[in-house]
Amino acid sequence: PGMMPPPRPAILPVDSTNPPSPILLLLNMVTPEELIQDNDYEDIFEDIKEEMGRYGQVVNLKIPRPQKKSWVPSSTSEPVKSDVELGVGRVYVKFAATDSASAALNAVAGRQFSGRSIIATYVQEDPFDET
Amino acid sequence: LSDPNAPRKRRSRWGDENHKAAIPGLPTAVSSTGVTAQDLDNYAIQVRLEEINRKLRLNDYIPSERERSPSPPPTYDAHGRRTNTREVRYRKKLEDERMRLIERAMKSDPTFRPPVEFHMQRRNRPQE
Repeated sequence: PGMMPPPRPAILPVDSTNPPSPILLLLNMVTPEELIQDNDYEDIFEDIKEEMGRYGQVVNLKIPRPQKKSWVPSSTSEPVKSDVELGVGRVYVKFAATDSASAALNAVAGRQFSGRSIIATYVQEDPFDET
Repeated sequence: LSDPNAPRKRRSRWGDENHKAAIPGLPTAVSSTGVTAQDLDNYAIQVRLEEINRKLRLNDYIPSERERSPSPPPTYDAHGRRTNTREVRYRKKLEDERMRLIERAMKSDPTFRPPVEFHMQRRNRPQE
């Protein structure tokens, strides 16, 4: 009792302390439910890729999907990864050029996708390196 | 009936290019300096919850014609009143999404406090 929750980290508007990078993280675009079916996932992937292509060459696009329970054999003790662990809900876009990423960020931050307001930020670490 | 072998026509989920809906105090072009991707995920939940609350409060939850999915066959209650009108379906969709977001935030965000009505709704949910 009396334990104070840690303070909520402040999310600030993008400024000079967050230098532009060729990689964008876009949030509030997709929900886990929309990514389960292959058809839906492919539609969303193409829809985003096509629009991002208007701002410059896209070299990589990553939309983490929920892990299906059936993918993990019951014989292994490997736990099914949660949506939170997998980063479901994020969209990473890597452009060939930083200028393209900047143009895309300015164009899509606040724009609607499936009736949701897109949140956009530059990321410095490459999420495509891990594979 | 449409040809099942015809290429599926994909409808775009993108909204109008010139329409940006800003919520005061919740920026959409944000800095990632000093925060983790997880913090940003939690922020996105916060923004979406605010967005859903607004839509429900303003009765602004029926998507434009272009974004709508095909209507299911109508269902009726014992008095012959339609139970799955567009209003009912889209409102329920947002309420369900809000419930899932709150459940996710309770697991992932130690600073998150669920709204008071949440526990009540959760208790009533299985009977729906």
